[in-house]
Amino acid sequence: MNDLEQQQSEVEPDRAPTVGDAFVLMRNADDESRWSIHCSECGHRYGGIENDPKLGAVLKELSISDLSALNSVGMTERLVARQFFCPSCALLIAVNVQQHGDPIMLEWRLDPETLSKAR
Amino acid sequence: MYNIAVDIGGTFTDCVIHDVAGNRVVAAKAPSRRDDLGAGVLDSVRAAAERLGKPLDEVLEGTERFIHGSTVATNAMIERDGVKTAYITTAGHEDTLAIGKIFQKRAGLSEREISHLNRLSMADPPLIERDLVFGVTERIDYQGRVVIALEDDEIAAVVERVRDSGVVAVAICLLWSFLCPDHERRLVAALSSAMPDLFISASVDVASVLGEYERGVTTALNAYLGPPISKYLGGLQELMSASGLKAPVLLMTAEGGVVPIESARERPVSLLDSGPVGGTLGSRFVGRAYGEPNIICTDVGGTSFDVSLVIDDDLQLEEEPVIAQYAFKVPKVAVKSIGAGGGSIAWIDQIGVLKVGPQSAGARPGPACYGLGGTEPTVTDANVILGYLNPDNFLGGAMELDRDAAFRAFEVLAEKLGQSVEETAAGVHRIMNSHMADLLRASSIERGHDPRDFALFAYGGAAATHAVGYSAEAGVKGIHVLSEATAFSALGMLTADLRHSFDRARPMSTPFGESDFEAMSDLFAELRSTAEAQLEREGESASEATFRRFLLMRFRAQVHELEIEVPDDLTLDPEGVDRLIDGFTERYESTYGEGSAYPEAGVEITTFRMTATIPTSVTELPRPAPAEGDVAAARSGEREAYFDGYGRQLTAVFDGDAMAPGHRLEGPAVIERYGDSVLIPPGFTAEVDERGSIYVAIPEKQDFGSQSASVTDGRLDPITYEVIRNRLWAINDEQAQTAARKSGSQFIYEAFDFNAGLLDGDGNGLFAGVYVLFHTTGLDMTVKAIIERFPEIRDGDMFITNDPWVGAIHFNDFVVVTPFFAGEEIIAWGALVMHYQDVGGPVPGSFVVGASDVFEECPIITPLKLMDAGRYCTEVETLLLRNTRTPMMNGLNLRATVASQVTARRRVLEVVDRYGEEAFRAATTQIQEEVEQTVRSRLDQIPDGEWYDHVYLDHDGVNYELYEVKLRLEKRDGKLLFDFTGTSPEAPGMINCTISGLRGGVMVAVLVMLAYEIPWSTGGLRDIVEIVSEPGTVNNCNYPAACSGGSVCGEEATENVAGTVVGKMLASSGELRDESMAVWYPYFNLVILAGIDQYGEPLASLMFDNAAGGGGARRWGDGVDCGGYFESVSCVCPNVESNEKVFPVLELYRHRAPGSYGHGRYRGGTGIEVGTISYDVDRDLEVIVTTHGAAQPGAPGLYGGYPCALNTNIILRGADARAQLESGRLVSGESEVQFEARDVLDAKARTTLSTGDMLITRTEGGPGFGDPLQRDAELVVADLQAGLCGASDAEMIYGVSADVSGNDAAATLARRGELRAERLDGARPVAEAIAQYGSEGILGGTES
Repeated sequence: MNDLEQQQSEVEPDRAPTVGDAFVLMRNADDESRWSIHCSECGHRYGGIENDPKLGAVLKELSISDLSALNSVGMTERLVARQFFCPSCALLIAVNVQQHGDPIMLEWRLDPETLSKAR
Repeated sequence: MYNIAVDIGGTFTDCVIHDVAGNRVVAAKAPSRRDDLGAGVLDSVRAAAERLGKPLDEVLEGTERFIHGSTVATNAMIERDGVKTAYITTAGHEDTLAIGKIFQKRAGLSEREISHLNRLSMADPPLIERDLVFGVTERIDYQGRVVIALEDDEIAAVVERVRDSGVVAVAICLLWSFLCPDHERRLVAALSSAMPDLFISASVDVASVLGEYERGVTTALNAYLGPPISKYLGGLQELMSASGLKAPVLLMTAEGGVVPIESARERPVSLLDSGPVGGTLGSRFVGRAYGEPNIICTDVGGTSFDVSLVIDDDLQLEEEPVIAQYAFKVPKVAVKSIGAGGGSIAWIDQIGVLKVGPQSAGARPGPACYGLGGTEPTVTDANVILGYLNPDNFLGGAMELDRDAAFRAFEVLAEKLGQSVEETAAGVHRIMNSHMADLLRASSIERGHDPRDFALFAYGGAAATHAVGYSAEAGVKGIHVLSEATAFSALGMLTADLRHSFDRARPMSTPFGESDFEAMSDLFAELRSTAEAQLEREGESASEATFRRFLLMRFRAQVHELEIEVPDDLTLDPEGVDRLIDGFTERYESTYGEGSAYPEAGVEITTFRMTATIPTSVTELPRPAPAEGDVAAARSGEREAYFDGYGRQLTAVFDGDAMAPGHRLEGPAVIERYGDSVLIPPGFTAEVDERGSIYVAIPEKQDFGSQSASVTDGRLDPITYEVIRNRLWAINDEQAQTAARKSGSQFIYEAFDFNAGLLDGDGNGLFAGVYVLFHTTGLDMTVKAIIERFPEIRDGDMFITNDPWVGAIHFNDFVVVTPFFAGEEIIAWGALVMHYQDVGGPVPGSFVVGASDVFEECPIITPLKLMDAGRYCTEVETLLLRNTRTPMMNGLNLRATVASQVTARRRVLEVVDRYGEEAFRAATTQIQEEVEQTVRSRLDQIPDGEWYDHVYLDHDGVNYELYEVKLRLEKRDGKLLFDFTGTSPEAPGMINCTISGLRGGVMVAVLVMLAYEIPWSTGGLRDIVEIVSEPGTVNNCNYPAACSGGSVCGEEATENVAGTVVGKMLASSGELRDESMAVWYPYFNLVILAGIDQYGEPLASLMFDNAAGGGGARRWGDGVDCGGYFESVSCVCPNVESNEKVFPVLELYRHRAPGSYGHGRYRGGTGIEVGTISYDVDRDLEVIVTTHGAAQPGAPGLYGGYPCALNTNIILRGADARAQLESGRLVSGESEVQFEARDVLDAKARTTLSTGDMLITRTEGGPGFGDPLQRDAELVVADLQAGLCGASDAEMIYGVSADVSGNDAAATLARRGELRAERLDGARPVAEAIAQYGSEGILGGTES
């Protein structure tokens, strides 16, 4: 049993809710009324359920040509490919193509009261 | 002398022996033996001989004809039990079977299955593995001219590749081979010489027809099935001969004839799906005795209900049947089937509606009453409960049924419905009858016939109990429940003629020249020689055969062919051919409706056909002796039976074996025969006819009072509701199919760029067809605008508009809506929307690149009456046709639309007449409620929350600029709020869409991803979906913003972002996460070719190859390669041969586009890449491009999946591709071409394609799902080996270290570790980036 499975079994005896296979949602060990978002690979805690998971991630900006060589005929100067990773295990959780300097596109926020439906 | 027929079924093998001298027929059954089918055949013959009282060897020795029908070929295909097969084709076109014309993903599936896009895939596993497809350098053109000769060294090379592959069968299908078979013949000769044991099929021998996909599938099926079928048939002949049979075994073909075993071994594809044909043949034979030339043949078994037709004593053939999602080209008796039989399981859906089938309990464990462990309530259980089946006399007493078990199985259902067990069982019986009635109506209506003009024959084990019910429901005039019904298919086989059919495709069009007439005669002479040679090989005398000539003809602009017989005495000269054309035109109108023929388009002959028939010696079957006494003598008892609307009735029971011609009885009654029980409900009269069948007359005006709808507090009883709902669903499909059949436009019959809808009286959407969905999402706007604008709407009115602010998506889409009146009130609306290929304006095709507002685009037709109280408004038609470059096509579309509306009106009013207005209105309300409740119940399985994303539009037609469509989706309390705040203002070019497009984009996402497997009712979503959008934005533009590209621009952008956030949302549901997927083929890469074609005619049409974009990755698997659009599950990528016939082009190559998809744990499906040069014209062509995703990836992936790659159109100026072609080389990609300049076209472009240029079009694949480093390395290796993933991507994106021998697991592990480290090297916290750039979406509360 790895650390994540250990935590899940202790905190949430039933199958833990997940989102997109990239995230697992767990009750906080110190306060079971609150939930946190964790990495499904390594258990890294992205943050509380009240926040967007990207807030606990890291990002790198690449050229859209790095996504596919076929993109080299596109607006490579104007656009950027933002890749968002788990800061612990580097699991890729999102890729956004945006214009340079545009605001970061967030992902999602779930209502803690309805998380049982993610299980 | 005897004739024997044996029919192998799934459970039993039936045998019928016709004792000619004894003037009797006996039937018997033996269990089918899956491990040794031949032994089962012998067992059944032995059993029948015993019933005849004769020794087996004596019967076999005295047998003149031994006919065998079998599902062995069908089962081998379904179970993929064929052999490893190679496929040889023209180089550059090796992906033909894999691309599957897109359509493969839905071919043969039910509408319910098709509506679940997430679950659609190409045939899996594929018939031929891609690494066994070998291209050869050779090329023939659309006129049969050799462009590149097939050289000997090329042949030698492919022979070695086949040898090295270790296959035991090979299929050969070269482009245009049916016009010039020489290349295929030389390959056959070389392969058979080098490998004498190899099973070889060449397309020119198996299916010499236009269309490389269907021709190739047919040839591949033949090769794949050849060795195992050949082995089985050889063994069977030996076994039967050893048992005393002197006659050759004859095989029943799907076309309705029999052929000797040697022919069947060479052409096993002709046996596919031949199982139900015996019944149709038998029906025709018996029908002659009854004087009934028009028959609906119905066969009810344990799992399926099959319907076929006999019209004017002729079998009805379908030219392109489907098996296991493969459409193939062998004429086959047309049989329509649904999963409905005695084993069909009854169930209640999640919102409490009673359903029946299509799941079946099968033979084991079977219905609960079988006592073999089954617990599910089935139709047979219902029939036992209702007293229709005798538990002590089932299958002639061979099986005892457990009535208590049937009751127990139904108790749960009854409790949920709040009904008694008997009421529930009666409901199941009625729903089953209704499903069957819908299919038999559809089967006849589809061919333009009214079921009331037909007699109906019923056979099969479960037919007798349902026949009167479904016949009455469908409104036929009478029904014959045939004697020997349980073995009728075998009986029918006895009546089959020895028959061969030979086709030769040779397209030729009017006006015909002298050389054409000569060619016609020569082709028939050639086919006659071939037929005679075939008969000679089989030991038959050609002098005893009847030879018939046929032409497959169509109007030049249309796709639907009709088979027209060429009389023996007709000479193929100008006068004779004119007679044929007159006959064709007349037949066309009788088939597809008055006004549907369009002789102005010219007539085309596509295929020459010769049939050779040696008639069966069976000319009459024994008739039973007339009754001598009263029918009372046959009465064996009575029991209580329950009838819907009547309750329990004391019901007379008769012994069918004791009844004879002339006996007559009144319902309620049950006639128990060996193997079945004929149910005669109250109010019907049955009579044993002269052939021993039970005939029940159906009164013309039935009293349905006893079964009338029960409406309480405005709500229908659940049974009637299910019946009306299914009927209306079928009517909507009929509405769509009527229009598609009659339209001549490639947009309609190939791309299915149209749709049909039904709405309630207030204009709320009830049903949308499985075609382009966004066509129907604005219909409520259209209807409401018409109600507002027209103070008086009368019965017989029909309205038309293309106004994008009144429900159309853009100007090309003409919306027609029709009020259906019941008395003085509108009770429903019908609707049909079609894309017209040109509606005027300055740019051919009417996508007006360069326009800055609507005044520079196309005429806007605000709602007008196309019909005024039944009068067709020719002045409106004139207005519409005056404004287009394609008046012929548009005129045809208008007529097709009117015909579809007239049909829909008639059908809807029949329902109103049958069930009453109150019931009809209640049903329309409940349909919307059902959809609403189902979608809500799905939403209830998803956490509440918010999801965000965005997409871009690139290039507005005037400026190289980006426009952003932003979306915040909020899901709360069973509602979805789509908030587009922040979206870019409307553009000064043609890319905007109006609110019609905005609503369309949202509804497409919701219907496809949340409303699967239920009616697509937008009315049911009106209280679920809310949209927030600022008018004056790019996907909600104000008048007079330009919007001629609205369908493929603003609407698709909306659809892409809406689909993406709904996909994100679904992935957070524990129950529905597998429904999560990225959007499919985000932006259509629309390329129009215009100018003058190779025939000297004006040309302005789309290249539909580009329909083959890639499917979005699913949470559970890869996207579908070349899967097509998100908004339409029915699009088609035409054959290369079709394109080259229509356009002045030669497609040098067409294959799946490597790397066009978004990478991911599951990758998107590939797009398509096509390399094209102009051909057979010396003028420039104009190329008009309207797309997006050419400067930026069209749509995002999900949860770490990459977005798709770009749509790209490139013209290589001064390319040497043509020179290479002329010197015998085929190019298969840009890297093989030398050129002077390379023009990468913008997303909106108008340019020329000169004779020295080469056009390369490549479409987006689908976006990916999940982190690519989590992808199974073996899948990456498979893509590498198939050429769908480059080595660089494998290493740099997937971290897979592999070579041709496969994945190096240790190296891959290490490489993936390196890549993860590289990812984090230099990465910075998102919070830091937000501090710099800000954020889109809600940041959330304070971290604890």
